[in-house]
Amino acid sequence: MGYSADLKGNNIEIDAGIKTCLAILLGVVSSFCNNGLDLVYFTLYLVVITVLLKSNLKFILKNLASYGIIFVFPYLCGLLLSLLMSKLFPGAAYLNNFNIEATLFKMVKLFFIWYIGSLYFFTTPFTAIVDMLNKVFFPLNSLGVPVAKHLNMVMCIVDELTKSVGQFKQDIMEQARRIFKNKHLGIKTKSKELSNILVNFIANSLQRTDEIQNQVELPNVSDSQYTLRISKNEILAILSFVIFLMFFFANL
Amino acid sequence: MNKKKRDAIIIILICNAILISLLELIIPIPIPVPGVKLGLGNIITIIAIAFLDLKDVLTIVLLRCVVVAVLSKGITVLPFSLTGGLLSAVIMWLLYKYLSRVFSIKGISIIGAITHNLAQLIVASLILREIVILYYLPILLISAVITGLITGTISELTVREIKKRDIFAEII
Repeated sequence: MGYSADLKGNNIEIDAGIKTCLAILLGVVSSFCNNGLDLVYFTLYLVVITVLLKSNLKFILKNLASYGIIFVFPYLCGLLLSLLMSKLFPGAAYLNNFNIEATLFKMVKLFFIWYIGSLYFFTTPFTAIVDMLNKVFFPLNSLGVPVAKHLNMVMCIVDELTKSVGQFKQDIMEQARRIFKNKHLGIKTKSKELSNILVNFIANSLQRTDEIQNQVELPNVSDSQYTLRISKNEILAILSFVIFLMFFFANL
Repeated sequence: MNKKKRDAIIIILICNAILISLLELIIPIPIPVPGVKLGLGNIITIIAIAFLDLKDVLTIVLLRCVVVAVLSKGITVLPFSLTGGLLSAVIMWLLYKYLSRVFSIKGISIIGAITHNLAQLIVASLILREIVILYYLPILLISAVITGLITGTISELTVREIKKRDIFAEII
C-alpha cells in the first residue's frame, strides 16, 4: 500500500518532531524561490536529503508521475481547451496575459512542497508521527477537541488494514476478478454480483464490531510515548538545513 | 448505540472503503483519462449516508482521506480529497434525506461525483492561481457522470440488499 511501516535498518532515523519542523520550514522556504538559481539550490538540497534518507530514484519518479497526473495533466488539458475555444470563438476573454514561464515556476515550486510531504511520510514511521501529533495536540483534548480519540481510531484503522488486506485480496478480489473476467455476463449482472459480494463482505466485517470496540477502548495513544530526541542525526539534519539556508538566502 | 460501538462501526466502514478501492485495479474503467478513478470507496459513503447520521458520515470521510493520504499519496493531496469528499458527502446527505423522492441513489451518486470533481478542480485552480485549469471541467464532468453512474448502480443494489437483510439493525 506504499506504507513506510518498517524502516528499521534501512533509513537514517531522525526525531519525528524535528523532522516535521524541518519539513514545514523547507516548504515555507520554497515560496522564496524567485529565480532559476534558487530552484537549482533547492533541487540540489532535495536530492541530497533524498540520498541521505536512503530513498531512491524510483521514489522520485513515482512522485513526478503522481504530480503530473494530478496537476500538470489537467492544467495542460485546460490550456489546450482554452486555446481551442479562443480559436473557435475569437474575441471572448480567454487566456489574457498567459505567461508560461511564471506558470512553470509556480508548478515547480508546488512540486517541491509535494515532494517534501511525500519524502516525509515515506521516511517517517507512522507510529512515530501519531505519537508526536498526540503529544503536540494533547492540550486540545481538554478544550473538547477529540484529538486523542481520532488518532486512536487512525491507529486502529491502520492496524485493521494491515491485518485484513491479505485476506481481502485472496477472497474478495479473486471473486470480483472471476466475475469481471466472465465475458458472458452483462454489465447489470456483473453489478448485481459485485454488490452481493460487497454486502457479504460488509456484513461479515460488521460482525467484528465488539472486537474492534475493545481495541478502541484500549489506551492506544492517550499516553504518548513521544519525547524529543537530539542525537547526531538530528544535529546533522539541522546543520545541513542551516548551511542550505545560508547558500539560498545569500543569493536573494 | 454507545459511542465506542459507533466508533468501532466507523473504523470498520473506513477499512471497508479503503479495501473496496482496491477493486478498482480489477474493474476496467471506461474513461481513458489519467487520474480518473471509479471511486468505489464512495459506495461506503453512500451506505453511511443511508444508515448513519451526518456527523458519522463526515467523520468517515475525514478519517478515510487522512489515512489514504498518509498511506499512499502523501499529505499534499489532502486539501483536494478533503474538500471534494466533505462537500460531496454533505450534498449527497442533503439529497438523500430531503429529496430522495426526486433523486435515486444513482442520481445522488452522480451529483456527488460532480461535486467532488468540481471542488477538487477549484482547489487546484486556487493553489496554482490559474484559471486555465478550470477548462478541464468538461472532461471531469463527463467522467463524473460515468463513474457516478457506475458507483451509484452498485451502491443502490448494495443499500437495498443491506436494508433487506437488516444488517445495520442487528449491529445498532
